[in-house]
Amino acid sequence: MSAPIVVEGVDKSIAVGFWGRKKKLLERVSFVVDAGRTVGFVGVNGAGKSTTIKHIIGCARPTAGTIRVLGGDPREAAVRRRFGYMPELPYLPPTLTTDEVLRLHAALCVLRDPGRRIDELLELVGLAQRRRERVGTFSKGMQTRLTLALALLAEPELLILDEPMSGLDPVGRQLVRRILREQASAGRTILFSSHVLSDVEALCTDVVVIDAGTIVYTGGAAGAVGEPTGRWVVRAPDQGTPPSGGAIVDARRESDTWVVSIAATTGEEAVRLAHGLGLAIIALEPERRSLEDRLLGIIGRSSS
Amino acid sequence: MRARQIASLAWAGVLQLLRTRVYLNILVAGVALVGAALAFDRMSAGEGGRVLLDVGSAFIALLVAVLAGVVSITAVTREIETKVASVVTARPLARVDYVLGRFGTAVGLVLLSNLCLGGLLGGVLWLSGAPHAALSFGVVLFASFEALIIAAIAIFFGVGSSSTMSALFTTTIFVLGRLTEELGRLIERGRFGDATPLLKGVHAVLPHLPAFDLTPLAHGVTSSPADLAQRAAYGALYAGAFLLAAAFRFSRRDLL
Repeated sequence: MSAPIVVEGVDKSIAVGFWGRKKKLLERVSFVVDAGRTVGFVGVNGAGKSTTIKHIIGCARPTAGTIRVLGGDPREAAVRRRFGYMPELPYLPPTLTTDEVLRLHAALCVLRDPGRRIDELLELVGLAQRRRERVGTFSKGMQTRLTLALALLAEPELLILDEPMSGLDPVGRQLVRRILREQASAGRTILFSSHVLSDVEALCTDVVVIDAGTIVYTGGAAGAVGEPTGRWVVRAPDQGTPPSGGAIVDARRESDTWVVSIAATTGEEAVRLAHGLGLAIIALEPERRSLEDRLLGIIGRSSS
Repeated sequence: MRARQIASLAWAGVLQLLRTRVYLNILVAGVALVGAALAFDRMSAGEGGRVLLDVGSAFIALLVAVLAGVVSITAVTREIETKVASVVTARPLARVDYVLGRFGTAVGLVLLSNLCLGGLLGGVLWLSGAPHAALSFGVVLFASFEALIIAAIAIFFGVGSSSTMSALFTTTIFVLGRLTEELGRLIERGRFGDATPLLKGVHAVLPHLPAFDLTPLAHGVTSSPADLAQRAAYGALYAGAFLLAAAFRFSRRDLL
């Protein structure tokens, strides 16, 4: 069985301006999303995330290269029946009610008797009390939740989500994270783009990084965030005076403890140095690069 | 299956139009018709009914054709520009079905408008004792072909151009389409020299919109059922050709 998403050598150029000058949006973009994985598609604004996703869902044709989704061409209706797409912004008809929008999309997905599925989804995204209200009166967060419900409507085997946390408050963010975890544990394959790296770190098994229309990293999320920095993080109780000493790289107070970053190559060395500084160790762990550090490093290397 | 998708898309479009108060246009036109009936009745010494049929049906045909064009252009271009079209076409829906769904919205609007306004015109004529009350309803309904051709042309331009350019192209074809009889007479007189073959080609391609004006029937001109069927078939084929071209154009468009 082939991977749910296979992108091979995709180029995309468009004509811009009066003279139709060629502008390259994507260059030799290649990556694979394997079945059952949750893949974060990461890049800065304008890197080409949404453009790539538009190609994957069949809304645009590549200038060169091929895209296979669920073993077929995403421009075929039979393929599009099997995936759910959530756009970057909630593009919804403002004068229709929640129920009407869901019923319209149920008809477009050729769902028979969608009533029960619509009830389930409205409960899931917390809009059950709003089903008779017009979408145009909703906040952006509520529209985003409705858009997620639309993506889940046909119980797709593949979810393609473009910035699914965009415009959500912390409660909405938690809700979407929970839904995505549930979808992942139900065996669904998920590709979602984001530049909010904490979401990617929290949810993804794999990461694809795009910069200036080119893929600059593909691999496991753990690999992307797991590199040790050569420092150790010590938590110690606040004893009245701020910790100080040559080995300390950084120190910050969190409620009644100090979180101290110590330059050390091994745990033993970190313990010895902490004791030497008079710190009573509560917890000790190696400091690892965050995805943000890693991403900035990758993008920095690719552009230099 | 596809019919259900197209019908759902068309119905959603009609609902949106009704909620954006497009029916106010129909209401204003209705008030204008009643006002005109009262004015003509006093002015035209016994011919008020006939004048009202001519002016009323021409007014309704113009209003509904313009409405169909504007609504079709704005629906398509706005959906593409606001990216609603990307979400809809990411569903298992062929691009041709999207085009047909949007045309279905125009059909709904045109039929709704013409049924209301045709009924009102017929009612006003009947109440004033004029002879062509039933005919007026038929005249207005038959003019729907003109509005639907304009809607199809508007969709053709809308799927590939900006709203301004689409409005410009559609208006140009609408105006020229209404002048095809005059243009035809000028060509026959042979006043264009070497440009005559080119103009004959343009004349052949333009929609012959006067074919859908049945008001001459009220003035003693007769028309056989076969002739009416031929005109209707021409309208359906012309709109169909533009819809096919629109679907082809839209299928090649990137929705980035």
